[in-house]
Amino acid sequence: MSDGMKRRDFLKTVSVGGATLTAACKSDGVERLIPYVVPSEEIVPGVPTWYSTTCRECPAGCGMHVETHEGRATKVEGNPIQPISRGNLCARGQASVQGLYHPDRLQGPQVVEEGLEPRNITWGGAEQTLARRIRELQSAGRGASIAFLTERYTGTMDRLVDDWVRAIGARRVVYDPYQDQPRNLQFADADFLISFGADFLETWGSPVDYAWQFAQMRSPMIGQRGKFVWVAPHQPLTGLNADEWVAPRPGTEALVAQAIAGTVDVNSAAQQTGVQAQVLQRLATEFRGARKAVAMGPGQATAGSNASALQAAVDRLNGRASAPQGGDMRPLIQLVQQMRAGQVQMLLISAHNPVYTLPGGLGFEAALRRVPDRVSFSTFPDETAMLCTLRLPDHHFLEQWNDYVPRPDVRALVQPTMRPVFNTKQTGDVLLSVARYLRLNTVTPGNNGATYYDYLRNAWGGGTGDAWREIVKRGGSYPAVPAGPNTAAEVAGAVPPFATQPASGTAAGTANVNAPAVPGLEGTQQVVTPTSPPSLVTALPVATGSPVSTFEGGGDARFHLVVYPSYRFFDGRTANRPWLLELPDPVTKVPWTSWAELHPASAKELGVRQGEILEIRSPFGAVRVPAYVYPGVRRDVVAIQTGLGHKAFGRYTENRGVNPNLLLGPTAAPTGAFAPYSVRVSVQGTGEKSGELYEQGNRVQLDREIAQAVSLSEMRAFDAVVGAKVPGTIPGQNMQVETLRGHGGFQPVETPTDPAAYPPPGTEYGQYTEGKTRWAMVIDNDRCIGCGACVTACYAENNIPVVGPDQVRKGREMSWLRIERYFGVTQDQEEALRDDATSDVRFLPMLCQHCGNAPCEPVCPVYAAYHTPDGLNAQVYNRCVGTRYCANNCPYKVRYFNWFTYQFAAPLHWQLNPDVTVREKGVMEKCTFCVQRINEGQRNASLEGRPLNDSEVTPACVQTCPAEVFVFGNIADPNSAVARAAASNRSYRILEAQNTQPAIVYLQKVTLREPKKGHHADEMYGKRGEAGREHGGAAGTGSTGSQLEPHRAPAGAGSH
Amino acid sequence: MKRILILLGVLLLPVGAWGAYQGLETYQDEPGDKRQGPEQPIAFWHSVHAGQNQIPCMYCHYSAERSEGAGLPSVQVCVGCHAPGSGALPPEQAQLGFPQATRNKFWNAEATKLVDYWRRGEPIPWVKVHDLPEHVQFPHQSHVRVGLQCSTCHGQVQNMELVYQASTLRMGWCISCHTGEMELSPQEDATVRQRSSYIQGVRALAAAGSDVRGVDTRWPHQRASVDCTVCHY
Repeated sequence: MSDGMKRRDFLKTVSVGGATLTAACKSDGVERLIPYVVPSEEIVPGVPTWYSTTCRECPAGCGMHVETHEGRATKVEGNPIQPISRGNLCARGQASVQGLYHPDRLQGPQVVEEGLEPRNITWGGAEQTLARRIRELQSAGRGASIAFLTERYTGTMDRLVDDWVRAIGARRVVYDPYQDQPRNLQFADADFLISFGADFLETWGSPVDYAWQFAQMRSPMIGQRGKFVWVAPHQPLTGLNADEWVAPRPGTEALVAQAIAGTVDVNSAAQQTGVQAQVLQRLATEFRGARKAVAMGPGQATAGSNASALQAAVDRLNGRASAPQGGDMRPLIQLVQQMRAGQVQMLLISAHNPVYTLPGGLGFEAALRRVPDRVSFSTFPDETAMLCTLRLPDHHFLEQWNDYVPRPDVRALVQPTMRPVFNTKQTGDVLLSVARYLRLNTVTPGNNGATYYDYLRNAWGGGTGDAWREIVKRGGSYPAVPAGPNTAAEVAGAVPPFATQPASGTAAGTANVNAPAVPGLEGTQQVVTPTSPPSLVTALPVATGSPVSTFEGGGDARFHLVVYPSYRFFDGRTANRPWLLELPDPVTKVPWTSWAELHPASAKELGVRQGEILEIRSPFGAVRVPAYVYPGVRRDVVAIQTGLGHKAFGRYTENRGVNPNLLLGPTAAPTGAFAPYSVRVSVQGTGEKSGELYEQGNRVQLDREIAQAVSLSEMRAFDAVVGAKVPGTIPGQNMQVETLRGHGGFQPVETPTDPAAYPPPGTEYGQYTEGKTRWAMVIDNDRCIGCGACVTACYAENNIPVVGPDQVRKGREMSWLRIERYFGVTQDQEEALRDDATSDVRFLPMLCQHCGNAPCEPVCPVYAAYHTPDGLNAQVYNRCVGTRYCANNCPYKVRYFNWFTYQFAAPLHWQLNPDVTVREKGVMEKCTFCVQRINEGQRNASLEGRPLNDSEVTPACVQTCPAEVFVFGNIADPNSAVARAAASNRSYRILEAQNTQPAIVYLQKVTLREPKKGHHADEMYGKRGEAGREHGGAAGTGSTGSQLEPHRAPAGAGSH
Repeated sequence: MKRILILLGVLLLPVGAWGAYQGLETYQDEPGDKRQGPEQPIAFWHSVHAGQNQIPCMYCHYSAERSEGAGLPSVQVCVGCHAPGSGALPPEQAQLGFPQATRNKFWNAEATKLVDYWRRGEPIPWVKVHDLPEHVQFPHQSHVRVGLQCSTCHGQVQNMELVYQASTLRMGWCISCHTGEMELSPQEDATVRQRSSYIQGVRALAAAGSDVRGVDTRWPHQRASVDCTVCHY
């Protein structure tokens, strides 16, 4: 190149050649348009079709509306007229579409012969095989050696299984771990709530319904603030939301309940429980003095062998009797014993993965291997299905007809929302086919060709077209949604008579055996003397005395083990959904793996640090799991969440985390209820660091006053000064928000330095045409329970990819909306480890703030980040070249970069929302306020020739929130719900001193005790003192006076 | 060296130009153009259906006024005309009503293809002609609602044998209509202006006494919003 060829010439030449070559390339990929052969009446391509059904991811039975596009379910939302869901759903419900499209589902019937690979067979062949085996056993006189282990069916399926089992002379055993919990408690109007380990915001009873009631119960928005007390050895999410945590000595929770009820002496109870007598006395006084007080329990964390005593005490507190909870494990224990003894020739299993969920000490897996014919109806290749010889995968609930009775006044209908994804078949239809092969006249009279749908229709009383259509449209028959907290107890609307036996617990042929010996917990007084025959006891690997004494392996078993259900995975049945795996746990913020919660003092004593692998041994097994150092657990307790640690369950969840059920023994309470809280374990550090444990976010707020709180007394004092409350609306005297609203949302605040000229006159940043729509959101931190349902809904709506555990550990998760959880407010990380850290926990949904003066916008070299006239901070994917300047300049860290083109493994890609672009590598993305829904609303309004009403647009997070934390709308309209909510005296905007002018207004959390405040609280909370001064200086009375400075610091000064 | 490279570039130029011509060919829109669209699985001529027989566009493209997609006729719709009565029958019993001795061999062969698709219960895999660029949403219903004629974007389909893409469907082309720079027929323009929600919104703001200066200055004849998120999301 020395003869004059310069770099520039070279580039010129190459670029000419390159351009011509590029132009010569013509894409020859032919895209096809595929029409229908026969069009469906219900489907207009491009317009979603909605179906009503009922969520079956847990026993709660929430009503669901399913959005389908061209015959594929893409999104689920709560059914607003159904009283359980009230239009809301939890994260598990939102992720149910990932179960439907899970790439590792069983794709058809399979037979497994000894030593051979599983062989795919036809449904006819599978049913004939099953019928033939049953007939062989019957003719050999061994029909009674057939057992059917089912989940707790209700309604039609319950009746069919009973009929079927009776007709072939077999027996049925019911197993469903968290089934028997009350789902009709009403506490939305209570002013005192006490829960004995019942994690009603996560899994217990009816979490979506209860989360709403909980938010109502303590909502200053509607003028009430009830108190919630949590009694348990550790704090899961529900415990973190409590106003007070009482942690009695493990096993003595029932005594606390009895002391409050007044049936035991407070002083002796105090001595045994380790809870101070005055605390017990105060709780008793508060409980009795309350206008309406409700007690709950026992939950999994307190379900020890004393659970029946606790149950009795709770019932006494509530002033009524209730059905015993926890199911009856005795028939199952007997069944396992017979399986081990070779007395069971065939076991049909439609219960949820008993090999995984049953206690390791029961030895179900080994016993199952001794049964010659093992038939699974599981949809997924879970541990149980993998051990079975015949796999007959059931439809996913979004593909099937069924009904379900979650509580006596609700009879919910499950209807298919699309054609089955795989070659699966409804279990009810399989049973009917087999009955026809076997000529069981009681099940299929006249051997007719009736399908399970016909059977179901019959059970619903047949019904003519319109009546049935109405039931299908509503998703069942149930009373109207109660209007408000005070009418919650009133049940409106008639419930049609139910043809089948609702919630039948007595299974045909179930032997009612006596209780096996129950090992009592130390310090427990209420153990009922076992009356079981000794033979049963000795046959089982049950520790007869204290469970502590029988473990092996050295060290001492000093820790009580709490195995608690997971908000995300329930008993493990939803643990293969990628969204739920990537959603960090609401308490620990750990995604993708398991951990053991250990108190900081215990960790110090054992010499282990966060993330170090612990070896935890019980008499029944051992696990190795990383430590999570957390003050929300007693010093003598170690808590492990269930759900992970699967040996089989598909690619996303296999060999991830640990299964804590392996540590448990087959212990049951005297009522027969499973008692998982009955094992002591030894805990030892191994010195190895886990590469799996990754905690997202920060435990402390670093003095930034991000999630703020105000005490109830301070709030009331302030309200008294600036304006009285009217339920439903909050009269606004908040100067800041008033100013904001008056300018259509966004007037840049003048700053004293030269950049005050920014934004320069005439630019569009932060200045909008007066009177135009200005989309904004109010987030009430006080209502937020931190569950993360909104996060999963956002993934579902916006085609957000799951990046996987390796990328998550690099901080590359794509969650447009995240829940931040803070144990402390200062810069001191130790603050989050102190014992009082969990007494004032703040949850904060963090998403794009849609700043009026957005820092991301001016730094984008290609104008990919810009502002729309209606106030959205938009991101144009086509323009984005991936410089990531915007993310670096965002003070809220809510912009996410696609480091790769993430894949949606087929058929998971069928779930993708066709209204939202699927992004690819090199593109920045973030919350759009669900702009596709705004546009859809705008189009629909235009088609009808009217202006858009802001209440027609609901972003996915707002739609699903069980606690109804969010208010969304047009803040430029002073009468809109969002403008009224933003006018609250509790409103603030995060990092306001940065002059970003966010469109999201947060409302401070309301605490009963004085909240923790960081070192910049004076500036950040200054507005309250300022307004109080203007109104006569009466604000901030009492202990809060010192927090209020008489003047407001200049914006931007002093922070950071 | 320099010469060699320039020579190489110059030699490549005609190759590239030919390619560019091939690539651009599809996007030309000249009157009297005799272009043909791509071959289709069945020789379906819009000139026969929309031209000769005057079938309204939305008889087949049935969802254009209520959905983002214009809608493709199902095979049943084709059969409904071509083999009357057999649409209601199971495909095996469909009568071969269409092939007639009076027609020529070519058309009977094409008709047999249609009936065979119907009998096999198979959709006809039409080749997509109007291919919108990636990352853009185009709602048909909003454009039909304001009174835009199908031919404004799709050209004189009734004169085309095999349909080709008459407009570029590129962003500049879309924007030129939104800003009012693209000419429409006077009646069409009047209807669009009357029904445009954008213009209605601006009028309402002006009537309420708001400052709408920014709206008028750039494009005095603007018809619709040119905000990015209207199409890109």
